[in-house]
Amino acid sequence: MIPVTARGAKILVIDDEPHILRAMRSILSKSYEVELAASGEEGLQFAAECAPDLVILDLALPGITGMEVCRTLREWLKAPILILSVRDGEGDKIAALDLGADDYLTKPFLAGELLAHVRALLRRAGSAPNGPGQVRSGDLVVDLAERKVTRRGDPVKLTRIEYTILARLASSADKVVTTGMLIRSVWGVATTEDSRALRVHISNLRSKIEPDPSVPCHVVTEPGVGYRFLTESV
Amino acid sequence: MERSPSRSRASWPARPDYLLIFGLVGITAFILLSTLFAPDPASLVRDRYDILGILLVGVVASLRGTRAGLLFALGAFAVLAMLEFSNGSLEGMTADLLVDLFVFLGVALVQGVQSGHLRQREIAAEENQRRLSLLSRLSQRLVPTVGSSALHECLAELRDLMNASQASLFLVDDAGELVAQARDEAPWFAERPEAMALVERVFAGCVRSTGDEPCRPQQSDAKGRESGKAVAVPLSAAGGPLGVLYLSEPERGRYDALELDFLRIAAEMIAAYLEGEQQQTAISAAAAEEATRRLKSNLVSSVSHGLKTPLAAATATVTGLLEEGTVRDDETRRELRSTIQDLKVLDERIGDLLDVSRLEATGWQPNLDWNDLADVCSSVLTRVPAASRTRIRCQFPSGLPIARFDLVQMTHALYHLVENALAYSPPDAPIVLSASSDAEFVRFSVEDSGPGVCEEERDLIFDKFQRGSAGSLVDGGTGLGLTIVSEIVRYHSGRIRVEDVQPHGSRFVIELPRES
Repeated sequence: MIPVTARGAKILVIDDEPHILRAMRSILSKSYEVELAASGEEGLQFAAECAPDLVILDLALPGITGMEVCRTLREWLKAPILILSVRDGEGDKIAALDLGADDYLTKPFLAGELLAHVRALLRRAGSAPNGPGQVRSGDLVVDLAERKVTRRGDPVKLTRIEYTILARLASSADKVVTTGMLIRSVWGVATTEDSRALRVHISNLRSKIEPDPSVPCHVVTEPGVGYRFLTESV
Repeated sequence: MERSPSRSRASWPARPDYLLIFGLVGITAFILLSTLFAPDPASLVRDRYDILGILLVGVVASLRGTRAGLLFALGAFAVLAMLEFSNGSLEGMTADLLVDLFVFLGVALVQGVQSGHLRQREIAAEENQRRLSLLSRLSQRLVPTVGSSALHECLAELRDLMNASQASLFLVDDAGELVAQARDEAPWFAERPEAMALVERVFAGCVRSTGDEPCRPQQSDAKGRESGKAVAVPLSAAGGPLGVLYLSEPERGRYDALELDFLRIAAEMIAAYLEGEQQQTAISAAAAEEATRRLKSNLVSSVSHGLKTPLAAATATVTGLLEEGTVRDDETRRELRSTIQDLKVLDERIGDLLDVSRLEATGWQPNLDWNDLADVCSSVLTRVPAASRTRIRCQFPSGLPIARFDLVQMTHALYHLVENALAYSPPDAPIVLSASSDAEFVRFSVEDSGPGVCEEERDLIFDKFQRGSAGSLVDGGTGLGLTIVSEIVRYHSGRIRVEDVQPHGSRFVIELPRES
């Protein structure tokens, strides 16, 4: 893991659209060193040359697809990858996250959203390699080392599966964990029926840890993709 | 199995009469040997007329069948009796002579029956061989031939094989009418109304009973038979009657049962061929439809990319101008915020247009998965602008079941309903987003306190570009939102309705089957 301070971090943006590249440079260059690549081939080459601290990758690339670039980068690059996708591209988002991408942003996005995602990813990349012993989300604390969950200091009694789900989400705090990843971490192999069981367990988990389960604030749903354990508002 | 001897020889290769030759040679040899070596040849020959007669009965039965053999046996018996009578008076008839005569009759009849049976079996074997040969030729003609010329070639082959002067195929067109395949046959049938009547009657019978028996003109059509005897065979397939095969019989005789049987099998083969061709056409049409669908889908994706990319760049750039570290005066910041709001509206309207295009072009298949109903509430709230979020009251009771639906699409649908409710309700009036379930359905509802939807408009508001007559309290909307909602619900096999809320307002209810 490369320790990175947010300011001065090197960000590689791979997108074939000049308008997007221009906007990215305009938004990011105030705080970060920005490299722009207009194709997948160029992106792979720049990544090898400049060793970026974060890669922002558009999935809809001509030539080598964004998915291929993601797979290739993940083979040797440890820096986080933020993918850019269109609305209704949930399948692509899941595939990219399963390939090792760290987060996604749906176009069109606000500059503030982009910067928040970049900050969160760089912060996580710079944190201790073994991960935190405790993960906090508001008044909820998940102690991964002690395998304990407390809410306002009071212990929360969870079943084994509920804890496994919460621990998997908390260990990837602020990152999207796909439904498939969660099912595999609990049952090993993903099936449709496991998906049903997962929803039931998450519903039960929320009823124990969320102040209002119908509007969760700790374990939020990423529609069509998976779940995210929030430590702060992204 | 009765058949016409004259037609038999004319239609099929003549059978060599080996038995006749052997029989004649045997009889000649018997007479010669008897004459040469017997002490009283004339007496011997006369005494052995019975042997000669039995031999002849055998030969005739072998050549012409049982009936001819028996007739010949009776005839020979009569001749022998007359010969004996010519030798003396009735008083001269001894008991031995009578016994001899009746023994001759018995042996001759047995010989006739036996030889006749052998001949019948031989005829049956020949007929089977003919049938197989004909079917083989027909299948060789039909099976490897594909395309529109196949039927014409098959008909020509059939006409030659059956010695028919006319072989025609009538098929049902799209309007359900029988139409001759070859256009130049129309005048021929126009001159022969009895032929056309036969074809139509057979087809009508086929439609009624789905029978596939060949049909000849009935007795009432005697006049028609004078001008041309014909056979019509229905073409039936699993999907229903396809048409009629018409053959005019040759002048020299009518088709026998074997040939009619053959025609029926030929008609079955043609029907199978036609059905296969229809299926092939259907497959091609489906492939063409799929290609069109894919083309439309690609077009929508391309337009989507073309519209959304500059919009995304503009949104990112303009919002970037408001980020920290960028000094702007208040007026500029206000204008930038207004521009960002306009870009958001533009994005949503383009999204609506693309959603409708996508739904119409590709059949926006839901990605069904098990989901918590409460997730719909939180997902909708995430999309609603922060300023309006406090107006939304979520009523999702605990214990709601997990249901199978597409979370993204259902969020999209309910977001449109909430957006609609916000637009038509007075400012600050609450909007209630709720869910419930029973044994059959899960229900989402969005309730507002707007003017409501009058009875006449309830079916129309889901049409494209339709707006309620009450009018929105805020500017905007493409008139596509409710169309998108109803399409999403339809793809989930669900239903949507709008109800009145007292004292004023409306409630949109989406019902999805529990096991959709």
